[in-house]
Amino acid sequence: MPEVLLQRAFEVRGGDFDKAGETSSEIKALLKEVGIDPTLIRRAGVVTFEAEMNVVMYAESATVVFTLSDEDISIEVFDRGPGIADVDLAMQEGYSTATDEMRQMGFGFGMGLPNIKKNSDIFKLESEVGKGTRLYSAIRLDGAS
Amino acid sequence: MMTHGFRIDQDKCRGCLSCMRACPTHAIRVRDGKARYIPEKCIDCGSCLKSCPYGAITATTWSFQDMDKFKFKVAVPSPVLFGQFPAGVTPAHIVQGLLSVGFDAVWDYGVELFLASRAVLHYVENWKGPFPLISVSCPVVVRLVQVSYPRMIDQLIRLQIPREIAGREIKRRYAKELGLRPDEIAAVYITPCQAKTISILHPAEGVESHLNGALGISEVYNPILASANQQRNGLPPPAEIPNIVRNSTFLGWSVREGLGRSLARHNSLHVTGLANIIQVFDDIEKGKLQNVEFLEAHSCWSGCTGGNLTVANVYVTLSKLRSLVGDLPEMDAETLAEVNSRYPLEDFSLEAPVLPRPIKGQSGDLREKVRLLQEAEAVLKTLPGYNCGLCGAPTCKEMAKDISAGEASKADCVFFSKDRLSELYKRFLLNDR
Amino acid sequence: MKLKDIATLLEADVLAGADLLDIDIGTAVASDGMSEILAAPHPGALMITGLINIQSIRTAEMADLPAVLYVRGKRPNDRCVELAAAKRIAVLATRLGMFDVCGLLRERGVRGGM
Repeated sequence: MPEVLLQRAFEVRGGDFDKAGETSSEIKALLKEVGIDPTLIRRAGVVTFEAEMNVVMYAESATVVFTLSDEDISIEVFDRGPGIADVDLAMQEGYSTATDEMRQMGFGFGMGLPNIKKNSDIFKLESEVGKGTRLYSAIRLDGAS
Repeated sequence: MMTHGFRIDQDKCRGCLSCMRACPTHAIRVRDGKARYIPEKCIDCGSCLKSCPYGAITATTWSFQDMDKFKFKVAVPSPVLFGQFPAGVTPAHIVQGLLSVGFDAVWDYGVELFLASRAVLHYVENWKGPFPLISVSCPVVVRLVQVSYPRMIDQLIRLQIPREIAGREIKRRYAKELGLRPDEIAAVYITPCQAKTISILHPAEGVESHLNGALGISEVYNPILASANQQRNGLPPPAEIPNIVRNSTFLGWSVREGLGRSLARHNSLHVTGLANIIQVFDDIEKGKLQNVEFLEAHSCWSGCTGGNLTVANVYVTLSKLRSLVGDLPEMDAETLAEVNSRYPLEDFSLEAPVLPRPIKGQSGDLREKVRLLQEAEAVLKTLPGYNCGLCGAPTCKEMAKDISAGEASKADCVFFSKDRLSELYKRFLLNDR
Repeated sequence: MKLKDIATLLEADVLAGADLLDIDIGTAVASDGMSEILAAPHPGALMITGLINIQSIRTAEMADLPAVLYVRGKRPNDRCVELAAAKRIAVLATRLGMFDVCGLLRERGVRGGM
C-alpha cells in the first residue's frame, strides 16, 4: 500500500469562472516546494485545471482532494451536480454538452476529460445522474512520460 | 568540508540584521546578537559584505605573504584591473606595477579566452542533453545551481574557464623554461571579487585549481598606483607594450558580453544580477527557455566590472576599458597562431563534474521533505507574519522552517517571549550610540 | 525568434513582461479552445489566442508557456494582465488576425508546438 505523505482538500464553486485555476495553482506550488519533477507537476496542473473547469461549468460545487503518496500524485474530484448520463460518450474526444456561453470561455470543446485521461496513469470516472460525479486521476512519481 | 568566502568579526558585529536581510539565499541568521552563516546555503555572492555598516564582514582572500613560499610568481590579472586606474596610467604601467610588488611575470589570458571560446562552441554544437547550457565563468552562478537548482546541474558546461587554462599553461611553460617543479611556481589571479577567490581555493567540482591563490584588485591597487606614479615621474614608460593590447578581446571581455559573442550563431542569453538570474532559472526549470542554447549569467549587475573587490566606479571602468580597446582588431596574427597550435593539443574538459550541494530539508527523501513542509506550514500559521527579523531569521517563513528543522525555537520570537524582548532591549542599551 | 522581434513584426503592444522580451520563441500553439492548448503541453511555446478571459492566462500557467499573444485587436482586462505579471508570463496584443499571425511566424521559422 502506498503511504500517504500529504493530503489537502479544496472547495471549488460551480459558476465561479474567475477563481477557476486557483486550486491547480496551489497544488503546483506545493509540488514544487517538495521538489517533484517539473514534467509531473505540469501533468498534475493540467489534470486539476481541466477538472476545475468542468466543475465550474457543469456542477454546483465540488471538493478536490489532492494526495501525495510515496508512489503517486492523485487528484480526486467529488462534485455535486447533474452527473453524466453516458460516461463512455463523455470520454470521446469532441463530445460536449457545453453551451455557447461556456465555449466563449474557451472551454467546452469536448477535450477536457480526454486531456485528463491522457495525463493520468490511472483514470476513473463514475457518475450518478442527478447526484454528481467522482473523478480520480493518479500520476505515478516514477513514470516520466 | 563546506567552505564559503566570508568571515564575520564577532567583535565588530552588532547583530543589526543588515546582512541577514540582504542575503538572497537566506544563508544568515543572527543568534545571540551575532550574525553567522549557514555555510551550505551561502553562494559567495557578496551581498552581505556590501550591506554591513560596521565593516564586520571580510572576504577570504589571499595575501602577499601566501606567495612567499613559491620560487616564481606569476600574476594573472582579470581584465577588469586595467580599467581601474586614472587616465594616464597605461596597461604597461600596470604590468610594471605588478612586477614591482613582487611578481616575476604577468600573464594575460587573451589566448586562453579564445581557446575556451572555441571549446565552448564545440561543446554547445555537440550537446545532446537539455538546453540551455550554462556558463561556469561566474562562481556564484555555479554555486546557485548547486544549492537551489540541482536538477540543472548537467546544464553547467563542463569545461575549464580561461583563467584555469592559463594557470595550467603557466605551470607547464615556466617549469620547462626555468627548470622548476610546477609546485614551485605560483599562478596568482588578480580578482575583481571574492567569489573567484573561493572558486580557486575551493573549486565547486572539488578538485584542485590550476591557480594557487588570488589577490583582490583592492589589495594590489595602491601599490600599483604608487609604482605607476613613480614610473610617470621621471622614468620613461616601459618600452615594451604588454601582450594584453595585441587585440581587443582580452581588455574588451568585460565590456562585451563575454562568451556569448563567440556564439553569435546560436541563441544565447546574457543575464546579470542575482535576482534576474533566479527568475530566469525558475523559467528554465519549468522548461520555458528550451530554445536558448547558451546562457551566460553574472551575479553582479554590471558583470565582473562591478565585483566587490574592485576600486573604481563601474561606469568609469567600462569607459576606460573601451578607450583602451579603441579600434584594435578582435584577433591578431600572433594570437591566432598560438590558439591554432595549442587548441588541438590541450584537453579543456573539467577534471571532475560539479555536483549538487545538498541543503537540509531540500534533499533527502520525499517523506522527509513533506514532513518539514507540513511542520513549517503549521508553525508559520502561529507566527505573527510581520517579518520583523528580531528572532534572527529573515522572514517568518524562514523562521518556521528553522523551527521545524529543530534549529530555532518559538521562544526566539519576541511575540512569544518577554525574555527575548528584554534581551534585545539590554543589547540596545549596551550598544553605545 | 525573440519575443521582441515578434512584437515588432506583428506591431504588437506589450502589456506585461517587458523584461521577458529576450526569450527565444521556437514553437507556438494557436487556438481559442484552451483544452486544445492543454492537450499537448509544449513548454516554452508562444500561445496565440483570441480568448481574452482569465482562463487564457491560467492555461499558459498550467502548460508552462512563457508568453500569450492576443489577436484580432482584443485586449485582456487588468486582472488578466496582473495575473500574468505575477506568474511571469509575457502578454502581447496585436490587431492582426490569427491566420495572418500564424502565417507570418511560420514564414520566419516558428514551428507548431504539437
